[in-house]
Amino acid sequence: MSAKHVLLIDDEKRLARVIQACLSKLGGWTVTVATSGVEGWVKASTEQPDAILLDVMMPDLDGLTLLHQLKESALTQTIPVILLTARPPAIAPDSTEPLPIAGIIPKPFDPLSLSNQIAEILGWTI
Amino acid sequence: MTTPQLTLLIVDDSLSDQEIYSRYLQQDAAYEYEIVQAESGQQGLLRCQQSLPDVILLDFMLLDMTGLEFLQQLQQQFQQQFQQQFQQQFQQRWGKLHLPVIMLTGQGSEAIAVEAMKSGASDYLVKGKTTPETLRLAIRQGIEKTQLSQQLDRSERRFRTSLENMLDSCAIYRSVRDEQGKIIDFVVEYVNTAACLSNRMTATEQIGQSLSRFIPDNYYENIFQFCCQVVNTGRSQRYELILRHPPTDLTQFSSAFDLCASQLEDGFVVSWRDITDRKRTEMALQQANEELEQRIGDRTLELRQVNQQLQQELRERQRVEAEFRVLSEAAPVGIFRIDAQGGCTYVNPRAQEICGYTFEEAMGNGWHRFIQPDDFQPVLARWLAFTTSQSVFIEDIRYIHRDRTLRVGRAATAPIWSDSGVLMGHVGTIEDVTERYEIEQRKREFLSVVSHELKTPLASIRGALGLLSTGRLDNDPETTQEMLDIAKEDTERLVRLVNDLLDLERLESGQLTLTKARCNVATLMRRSVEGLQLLAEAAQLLICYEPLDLEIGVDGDRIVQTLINLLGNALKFSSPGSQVNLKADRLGDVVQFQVQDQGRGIPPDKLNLVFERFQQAELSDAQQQGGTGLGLAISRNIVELHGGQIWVESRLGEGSTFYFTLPINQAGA
Repeated sequence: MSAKHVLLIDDEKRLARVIQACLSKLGGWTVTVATSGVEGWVKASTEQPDAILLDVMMPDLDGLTLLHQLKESALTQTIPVILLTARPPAIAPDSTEPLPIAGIIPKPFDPLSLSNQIAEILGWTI
Repeated sequence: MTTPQLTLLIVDDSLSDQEIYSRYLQQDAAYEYEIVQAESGQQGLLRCQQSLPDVILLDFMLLDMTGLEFLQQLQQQFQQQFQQQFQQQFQQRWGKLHLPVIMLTGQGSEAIAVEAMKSGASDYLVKGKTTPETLRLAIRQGIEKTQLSQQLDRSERRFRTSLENMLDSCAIYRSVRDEQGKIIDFVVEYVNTAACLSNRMTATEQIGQSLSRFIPDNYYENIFQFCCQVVNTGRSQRYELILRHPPTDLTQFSSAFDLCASQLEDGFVVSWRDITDRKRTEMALQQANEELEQRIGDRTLELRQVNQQLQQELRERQRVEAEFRVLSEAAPVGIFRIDAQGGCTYVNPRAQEICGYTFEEAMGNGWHRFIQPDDFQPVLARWLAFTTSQSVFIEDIRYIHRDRTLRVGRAATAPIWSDSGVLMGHVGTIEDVTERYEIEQRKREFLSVVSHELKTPLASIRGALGLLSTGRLDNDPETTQEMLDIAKEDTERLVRLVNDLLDLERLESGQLTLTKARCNVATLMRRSVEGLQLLAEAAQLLICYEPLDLEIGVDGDRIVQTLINLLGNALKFSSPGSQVNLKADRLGDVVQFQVQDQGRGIPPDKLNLVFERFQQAELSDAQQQGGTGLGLAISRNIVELHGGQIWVESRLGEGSTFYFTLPINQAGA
């Protein structure tokens, strides 16, 4: 069984790099980073990761729009998405439908335990 | 003209004499005679009844009676007839027996003739000496005399009846004079029935009595003088006689009379009437009037006092009303009144200003259309649900002001209940909380941004250091260094952010005081450019500036901070190889700085926002360009604190130019 591939979509470059380092060193996964929504969309489609970590607050394409885009596309709709967000209630204030996501990890998160949180949500073993 | 007709009765036992008299009279041109003849006294009396003669020729020496006896019986017969069937005719023609009877006597019987005249005959003629002329003259005179007597009798009867019939008392007094002709008394000659009743004496008892008999002593002299005056002057006079008891008490009287006297021959006729009742009524009326006037006076005083009281109350009420009006009109909060049906009945000037409607527009349901249309129904429903309760309704309501801006008003209403517990309406206040809302909104956003800005570098520092501490990077020096660099950079970013936040907070709260001194503009420009020279070179950018030799009084460090901020921004958004220009010009009393770049420019809708906190043109700018998002807000505060202005002009794709001015002669420099 090959190493899991996780795509991190976050515009905070330095934080993204730290998360990438943590997940690869502590989880043993392959982690690619996209620092914008558009880049994330492209990488998700082309790299076909096992999971996507999505930061909700992004300037060019907001996280929720990207989420729906991912879920509508045949190429990406099966990839589980975990949201990283500081404000869970603000995700979908008007929607009663549950989001098509695997889980939410609230900010601020501890980068050292992040891999365990993800593995728990997705049922992976480290 | 027809000749008047007379019916003549001749009572004579001599038929030849009758013939002679008849013949005499038929020659009379003055009258036309119808002659009735009787040969005896009895026959004559009978003829009187039958023919109603106008005149009688009576022979004194009749066979059955003398002329005197005839007259006597004729009188009796008249009396009977007067009372019986001929009453009306006799009354009309004679009243009493006015029938001229001419007695015919024998020669030398003058004594008989005198007796006959006394008994009622009107004339006499001596038989044998009678000529047609004497006969006709006697008849004519007899008739005329009877007519006169008849008229006199009728006149007297008329006046006497009138007097007797009067309700007023009437008396005739005759003067009694002394030898010198001076009046010493008056005696009663006549009194009418009313006077008898008034004096409670019969006429007989009164006639001949002195005036003093009828007048109380106290009043006699005055009355006597009054009567003398009437007799002496001949003028009618009136006198009001009021009998008082006692005479000195003017408020009371026993009786009162109104007298009217006129001179009559040597005396006077006086009529009087009892006006006691009238006087009493008058006096009672006068008394009542006086009492009424007194009462009116009292009442007027009372009314005046009540009126004064009312005036005072009115003034007080007006004062209170004016006070409340001023309270309402000048209140810094909008006040309105709604009736029980929800219609507006009053809005104060402040409410009009806040809501942007006029008084007239707000009346009734007019205020409804100012509420944000989407909100109106739910707000109204909540308000209606509330009106049934006793408490105060408070809600922030969005409304559209006349100037078309959407605002928020904090409306509060409290119900007004009558004493009997009926809902009379509501009184309410309205407060424009738009700005407060905006401030709160900005504060929330600011906190949200600040927390994000703080948490992000903290998370990466924590992660980087945490990863290093696990020892998993021990064999990976490259990543170890990378993690250390990230931790260092984000720590610096945090320091900058905290410094800027504290700076801004001190600037905005006025805690920061400027340290002003004389500074040369060229020096300030040089210091700023020098501070950025390395950064510019690293980015392959050129900073050009034209020094301006001008002394100004400013806080030099702060102005350098502002210039570095603007130049730093210009460098961040410029492409390698391009140029950033710094310029300063004196414009009158101010010096104007400008920082021009050839970067990507700022979208027009962001131009007004760039000086707000965390309002970079792009959200990612802060992270990507290493800024805190607070630089322009700090710059604006510094410039404004110096009394200057800051603004930006920009064209997308061509670059931006930031300007700011500073007064040359700064107070306190």
